[in-house]
Amino acid sequence: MSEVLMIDSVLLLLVAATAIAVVEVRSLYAAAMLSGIYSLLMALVWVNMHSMDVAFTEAAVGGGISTILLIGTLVHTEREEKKRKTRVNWGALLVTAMTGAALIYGTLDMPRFGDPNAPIHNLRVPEMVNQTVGMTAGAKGKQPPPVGWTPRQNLELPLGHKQAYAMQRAHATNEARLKEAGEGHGGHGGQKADGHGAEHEAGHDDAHAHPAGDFNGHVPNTVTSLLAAYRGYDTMFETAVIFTAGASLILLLRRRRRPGENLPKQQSANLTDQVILRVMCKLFIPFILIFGLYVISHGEIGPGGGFQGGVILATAFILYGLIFGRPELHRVLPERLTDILAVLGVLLYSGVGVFTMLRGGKFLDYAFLNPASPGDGEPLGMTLVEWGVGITVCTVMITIFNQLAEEESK
Amino acid sequence: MIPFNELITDNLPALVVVLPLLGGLLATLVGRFAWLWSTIITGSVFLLTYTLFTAVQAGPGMRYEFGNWPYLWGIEYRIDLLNAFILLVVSGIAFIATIYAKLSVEDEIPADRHNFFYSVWLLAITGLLGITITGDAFNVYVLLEISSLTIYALIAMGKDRDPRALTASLRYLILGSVGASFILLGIGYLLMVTGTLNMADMHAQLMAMPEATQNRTILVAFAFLLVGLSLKMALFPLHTWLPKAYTYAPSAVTAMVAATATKVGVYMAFRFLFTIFGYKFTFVDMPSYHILIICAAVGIIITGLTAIRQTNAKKLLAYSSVGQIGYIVAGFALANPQGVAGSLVHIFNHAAMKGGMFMALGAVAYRVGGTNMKDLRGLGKRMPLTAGCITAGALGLIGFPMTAGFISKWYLVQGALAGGSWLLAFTILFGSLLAVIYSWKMIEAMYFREPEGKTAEATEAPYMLVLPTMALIGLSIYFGINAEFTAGTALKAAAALLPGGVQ
Repeated sequence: MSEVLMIDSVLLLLVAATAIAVVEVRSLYAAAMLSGIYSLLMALVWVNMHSMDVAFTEAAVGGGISTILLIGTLVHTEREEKKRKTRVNWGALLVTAMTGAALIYGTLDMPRFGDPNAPIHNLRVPEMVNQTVGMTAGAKGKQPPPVGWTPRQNLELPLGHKQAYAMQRAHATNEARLKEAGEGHGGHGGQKADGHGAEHEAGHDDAHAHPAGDFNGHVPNTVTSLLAAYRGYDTMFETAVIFTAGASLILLLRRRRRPGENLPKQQSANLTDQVILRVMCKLFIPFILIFGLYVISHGEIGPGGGFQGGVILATAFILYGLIFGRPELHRVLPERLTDILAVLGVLLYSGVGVFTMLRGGKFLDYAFLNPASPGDGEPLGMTLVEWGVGITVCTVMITIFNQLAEEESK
Repeated sequence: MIPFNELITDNLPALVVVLPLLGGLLATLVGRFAWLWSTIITGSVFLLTYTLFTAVQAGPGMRYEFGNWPYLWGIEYRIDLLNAFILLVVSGIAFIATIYAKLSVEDEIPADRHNFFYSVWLLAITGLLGITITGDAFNVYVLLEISSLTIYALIAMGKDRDPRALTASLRYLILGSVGASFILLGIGYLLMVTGTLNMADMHAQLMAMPEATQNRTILVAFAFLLVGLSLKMALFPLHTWLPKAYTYAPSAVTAMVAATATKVGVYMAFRFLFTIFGYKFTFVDMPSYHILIICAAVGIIITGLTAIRQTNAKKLLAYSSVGQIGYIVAGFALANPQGVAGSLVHIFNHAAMKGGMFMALGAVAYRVGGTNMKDLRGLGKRMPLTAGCITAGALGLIGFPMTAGFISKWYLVQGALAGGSWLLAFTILFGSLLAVIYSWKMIEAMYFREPEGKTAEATEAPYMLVLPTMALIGLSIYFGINAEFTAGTALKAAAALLPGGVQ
């Protein structure tokens, strides 16, 4: 048994134990905390699978904000589950057991865990890793392939150190061939490739640099590339889902405002006299904010992005609201402002799409953001849309917190 | 910058979904003009889908690759006659329902949240259109999330924070989420074995597998998708969320959702069963024919009987809707040209009839305050136009000649006979008999009883409510007399889905 599997087994056992505990405990407060622990354990499972972005999201959303919101709902319920005599519903149990059995039955013919020859790894992915997608069939926006460029065939995934080294070599030889041909691929891209060639020669290997074989201008983090470029259209609607959640809560839970009334009236900010909390909160908030901003703006380079960063930003504001009271939070970030920002975030995302359309490209064709060097449009466009996601996620989370807390004052 | 007309022609498929999305976002910022704004947006979307439909009707179909990524890697919209037709139906109903919504929303929703109501309303339309137009399996799921979330919220907005609307919405939310999870798991399992999310590519990969019907992962994916889709389209016995949700939702929401949401669910079933798994896998190798036909046939009879017992007209129509879904499912499960065409025609016909009838009941609620049978008494004298619309719609449900319902039943019975299923043909006709009984309950109350209570003082509903209602009912009668457009389109689209057709 490999180490990975051993760690996974232990983690998954803990996950199962936590899940059972969530169902079993009577205290809702404990259940909310346990669900946070469940998410953190799942985050570790994802880390073990090397999917840092998923782990990050799980930790920030599942472990962080969801727990806060679950505890927020406790304001309206009691802290203990009511004692009831429950009879076993055999029909429901049977359906659940059958569903579970079907799920397991379905895994029997799945490709083995981590199998490099699974269709998911070798059908479409090699071209993505090779950065040859979108250069063919006369696609308007994407950078043309350089002269003499041959896509790597039969790429084995996931890459071990040896393959990674071989790939670097392939890059280097390709650059060399390019230089021999004496022809760049026009404009900015050509200069870039040359620059990288020089770097290779000099032995500098900056892991964060724009990869040399990267003609579409893809960013180093393939996950972000997949989410914000190839499937950027889906991500736009995921952001719209977040907005929808906020709008629905406003629709359902917002107290009726009398004309002119804007501030929340509740004055029960009784945590303000807790000196330790106050001081620690003020100490923490700047760091949380900076970390949130960092995560949003570095999504295309490392793990993270708009969703995670937005949630982190929101926790800073929610923390402030918890300690200093909602009127104070409202003074910093008025309700009207969060409403508008939630809209503007999605508008920024879809606006990038509309802009590329107006420029003559397809919706969300980032290459049209900067016609002078289409390859650079991609990082730019992805940064813009990540900011759109971050703004919406952050403000909607604050809105959800506000709406959940508001009912109490009625 | 490119010229405006080029922008439209180049990006027509994208605009059909992007425009209502932008409209929904901006609806929160337009102040008092939210309704006007929504009407303009849905009207323009209808024009766009009409242009799209005519283009697809003339040509081989249309594709749009987002971000200019080749469709095997990115997300593409792929429009053929089938989804162009459904798009036209959804956007048309959405436009008419939005006009209707003005008074109904003013009556039922607190004024301080009209903006957010119309925002969520437009996003619901975005979701429904997005599911219909896309050629990407995961994109379906994302848009399904949007349409489901928005519809849960819209249903929960029942008049005066009616707790029954809230519980109905919660019930729908739980069951709908279970259904969506099954769909997501099904798509996930398929992705695992095919390595792609594009529908056409998925189909090609499945076809290329020598032992697809033996692969346990694919079998489970198929089963999960069938269950999830049945929940979403409210196929008996997975319809239990529907009656209360339709009954307690705001009038405009009931009209729009009843006419479009389950229909888009059926469209998803078309895409997954015919386009992704393909005719052979679904109907030759798998026992889906028997499962679907039995659910549909039992559903037609049981919901018909349940509808007869209802004392609330809205609930009666809701149960009738489940029965009508039975007809639609039975039609495509037959998997022969007449059956599939009957199913498609009925998607439109039922949307027009039921949408119109729910609008008429909304007008009754607007004037009388309720939709119980006793509120309908004597309505024929007090609100003749509204009562007339309900009657015409009811005739359609029965399948009376000269109504659209007759055309659907005609094709469905033909399909059942062509499939050699006498029992199903009999069930369809027996369902019509049940429809006669429950429709008669309403007609009798409206024309043969004396008005009492608030009905006695009621006057005809305002034109802003009556005209959209009459438009939908009028359509259902027009396409009952001249079904060349609907039936012709349906036959062509059905031929393309079945073996030998062009994909």
